[in-house]
Amino acid sequence: MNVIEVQNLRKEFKSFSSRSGLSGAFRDLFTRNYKVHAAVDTISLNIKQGEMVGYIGENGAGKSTTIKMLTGILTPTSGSIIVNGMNPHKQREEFVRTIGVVFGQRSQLWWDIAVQESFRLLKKVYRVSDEDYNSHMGHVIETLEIGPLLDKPVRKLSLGQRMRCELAAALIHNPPLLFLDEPTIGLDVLVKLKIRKFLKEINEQYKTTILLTTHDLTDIEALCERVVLLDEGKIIYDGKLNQLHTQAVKGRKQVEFEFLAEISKDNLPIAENVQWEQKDATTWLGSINGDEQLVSRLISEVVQKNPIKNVRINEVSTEEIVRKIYEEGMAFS
Amino acid sequence: MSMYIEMIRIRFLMMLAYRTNYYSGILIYSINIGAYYFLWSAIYGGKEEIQGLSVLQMTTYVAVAWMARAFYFNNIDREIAAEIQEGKVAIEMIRPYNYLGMKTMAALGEGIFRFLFFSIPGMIIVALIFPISFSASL
Repeated sequence: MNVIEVQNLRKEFKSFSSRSGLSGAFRDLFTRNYKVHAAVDTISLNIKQGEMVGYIGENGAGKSTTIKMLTGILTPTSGSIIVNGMNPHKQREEFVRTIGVVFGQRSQLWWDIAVQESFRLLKKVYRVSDEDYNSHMGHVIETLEIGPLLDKPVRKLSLGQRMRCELAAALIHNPPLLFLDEPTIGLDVLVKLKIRKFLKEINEQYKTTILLTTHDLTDIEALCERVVLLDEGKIIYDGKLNQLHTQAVKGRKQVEFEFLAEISKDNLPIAENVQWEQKDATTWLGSINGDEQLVSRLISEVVQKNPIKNVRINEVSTEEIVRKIYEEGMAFS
Repeated sequence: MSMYIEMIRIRFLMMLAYRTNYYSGILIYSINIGAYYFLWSAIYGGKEEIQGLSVLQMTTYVAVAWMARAFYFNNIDREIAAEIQEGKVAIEMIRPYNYLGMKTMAALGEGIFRFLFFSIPGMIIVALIFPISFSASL
């Protein structure tokens, strides 16, 4: 069953470019130059129940715009969206009862008052019974370790504390679908781990579908099996994360040799699909264009000739893959 | 319905969140009333009354008008403007309620709070400092 069904979704923004200077500003009062810019450009996407999907892309790729359309905040220019069997912006009030949203950049708690008061209002808003609230939220509060924070006003909380409270607030009505827009922005490692563990737990326990955008790819690695990669409003990759790895890693491996003594290039085996690069006096980096067998052959050749201190096979990290894709585009799809 | 009542309660909490704000509010209203009192005293000069209205009646009018203003005046309109300008309205769109309905209840909450905890205590303080008389007859 698909929780999210998106077809040929498109969102255009009309923005005007202001003329320079004060006289330009006055001229802008009468005529303006408009530019139409497609933030999300004809994307189609299906997400099944219980999936955890990472939605990644550069700044301005259209991630947040998509999330805003999926949550019914923005209306699409064209295309169809069905989330939880409803049209988000047409049936807004009914629809938003079935989702939870966290915007990392905005707070949904009331700034001046204690966290528990915000929770109490949200509980009334979502019409959660005392019983459900106590059993479900008791668990949430315990795992996120926010019990001692509940009586503090939101403005006195640190970013990490606030974000955990935000997450709890989004889960008050135990929604089957959760949208997280950069939930780990600016958080330290410990809080990040705590949040990841928690998300995994609710995904397993309640089969909550989670759509997550982030710039921290370790989040994606830890949580999501499936990634959707967005570039300039278009989906350029939609599939398994490890597949992205194998595709990108294919034909590009690095082995770092640390020798005991200084070594010149003549002592290293020469092959057409191996490139050598000297890092410092005793360290050489070999980039290999080939499979694992070639790598092991190269290592054995090098080790036979030269006394070695350390050998390391560098695995290409997701971060590097994604950086490459951002820079060079999707060359291998 | 209960969420609207809850919103009134939240508004009370927000008004009470900063106690300096609360106390200075009462002080500022008293200063305003004082300024008008002295202005009208100067206008009257030594005169008993202008157009059948005595200084005492004028002072009472000014005090009541200012304290009534405490009740009907609120910042909800500016709040809505700020929310739209800063994009916070997005958060309101993901909640299952009517935005304007909720703001109306917030305004009502603020009004009730101001009436009970601004206007009435303020009136008592003002009545102690300035000569004011409440009479049913005109």
